Amino acid sequence: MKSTLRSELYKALTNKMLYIAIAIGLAFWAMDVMENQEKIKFFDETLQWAVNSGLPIGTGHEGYSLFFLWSGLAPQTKGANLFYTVWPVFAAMAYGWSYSDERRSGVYNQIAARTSAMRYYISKYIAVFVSGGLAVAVPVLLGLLANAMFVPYAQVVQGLGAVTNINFLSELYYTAPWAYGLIWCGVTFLCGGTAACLCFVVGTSLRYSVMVILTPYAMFVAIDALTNSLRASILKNVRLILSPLRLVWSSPGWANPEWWVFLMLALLTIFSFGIGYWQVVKHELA
Amino acid sequence: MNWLKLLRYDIRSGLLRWRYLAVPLLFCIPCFYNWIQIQNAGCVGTWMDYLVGCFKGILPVASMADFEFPILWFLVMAGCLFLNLDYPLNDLTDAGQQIIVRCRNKKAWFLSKCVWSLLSTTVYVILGSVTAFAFAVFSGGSTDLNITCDVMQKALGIFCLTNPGAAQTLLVGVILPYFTLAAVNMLQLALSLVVKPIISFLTCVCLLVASLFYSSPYFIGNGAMAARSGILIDGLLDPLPIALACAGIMILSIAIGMIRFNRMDHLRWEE
Repeated sequence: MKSTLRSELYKALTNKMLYIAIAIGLAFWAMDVMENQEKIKFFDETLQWAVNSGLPIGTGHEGYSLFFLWSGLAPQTKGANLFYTVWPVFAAMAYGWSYSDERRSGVYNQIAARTSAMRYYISKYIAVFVSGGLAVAVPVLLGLLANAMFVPYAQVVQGLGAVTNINFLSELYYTAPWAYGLIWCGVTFLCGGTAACLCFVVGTSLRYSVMVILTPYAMFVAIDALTNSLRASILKNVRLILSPLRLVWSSPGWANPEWWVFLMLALLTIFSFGIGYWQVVKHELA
Repeated sequence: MNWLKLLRYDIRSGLLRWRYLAVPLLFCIPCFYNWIQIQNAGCVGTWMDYLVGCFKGILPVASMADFEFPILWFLVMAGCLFLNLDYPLNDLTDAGQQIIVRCRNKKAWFLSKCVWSLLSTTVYVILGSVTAFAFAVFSGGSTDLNITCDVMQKALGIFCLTNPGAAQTLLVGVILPYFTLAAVNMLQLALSLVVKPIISFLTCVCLLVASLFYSSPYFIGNGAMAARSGILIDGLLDPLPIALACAGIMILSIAIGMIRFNRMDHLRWEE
């Protein structure tokens, strides 16, 4: 098991597509940093003007601080909007395509004959999860750090931030924002991994890798649109976030308590693992 | 080999696919949402109200604080891209290689794929229109080709003061979205010969998302947004520059795709 896992992780972490996905994600976050820089410049100019005019105004950056402008809460810039519109594609393009690719090319048979189908599947699942998580979480983390170089840090004043008591670890956001930011990057990693593993759902039924990569994205967009429509009618009283596409926002406008975020991720993981397991172990020759 | 034979083959194997049955289901989602909104507003919707609702998009974004991602519009647009993405590439790695060798005409093969792309978009829009028609009929609405100003204002949030008439409504609800989808699909087809298909899809999606922020006819997605149409709301985008921009993108995509395809070695095309 150990050697299979090591070889799968090696393949996952050294493949070109993972780096392309991270690079595109970083490009979007670079746009976010530039837009935030503009905002800070505008804020500083306005503040200077107010001070020069003798207006009774505070000199703090509370309303324009790092964790106030951070798009990990909810996309607030064009760059972040682009990133959070297509993030499941990045997750799946890192290594999600490999399972269907190896089964179609016959590599699967070679590996499964030397180890076991189950071992191969679990190793592949872990490798896909890790690579998908990295493809989404690394740009978010580096985006946060890059923003921290330009945007001043100030503890967010209660009532001013977008995070409220219905959101994930809301208390931590106001007391230890850096810890909150890093924990949220961890949750983003889990979201990315979960999305990438949904590629297992289609198995080998899609011939072209690009369609496999787009499967989690198509599922997420369809669920998002469906829940959006149902909220206007039968789900009117449901306050919890239902869209997996927006699960990566820490303040998505709907309630996302810790238990709900982890429950959704667990359900999606069980769903993809279960279908993949059924395909690999019960239908070995399929 | 006659070019029409190639097209006939593409129609048979590219258009008669089970996945087109998913298109009405996809259009059902925005239609259902519009139906709820129309009910809540206490109005009765027409066929065109439902169709314009599917291609509503968002009003021009004044500040990022007001921005709300139009997921239903995006679903309809990206659904068409997803539908059209794999057939030309599948064919190129399958029977297409034999066909190109036998007919000795790469241009004919590529042009046939371009026409197939247009036909596929046509089928997509027709299926969407039929779904909207079914919603209008089953919800007790009319099959009128006009929009209802009340529905536009109260249910869809488009502040349309006068009814533009059936021809203009068709332009906003069917023709301009069709042109836009056809142009984006053609761009995707050309790009998928230049870069990896996933990058070509991502590029087209990013163009669509970018058009949400910039209300200009040169950002291609604006043509498929009724909320930004100058026909419905005074002072917004004129349909003529949008149609010209779409035509320009289509011609450019066909030219780039054909040049690229003529120069590439299709026998070494990686799956």
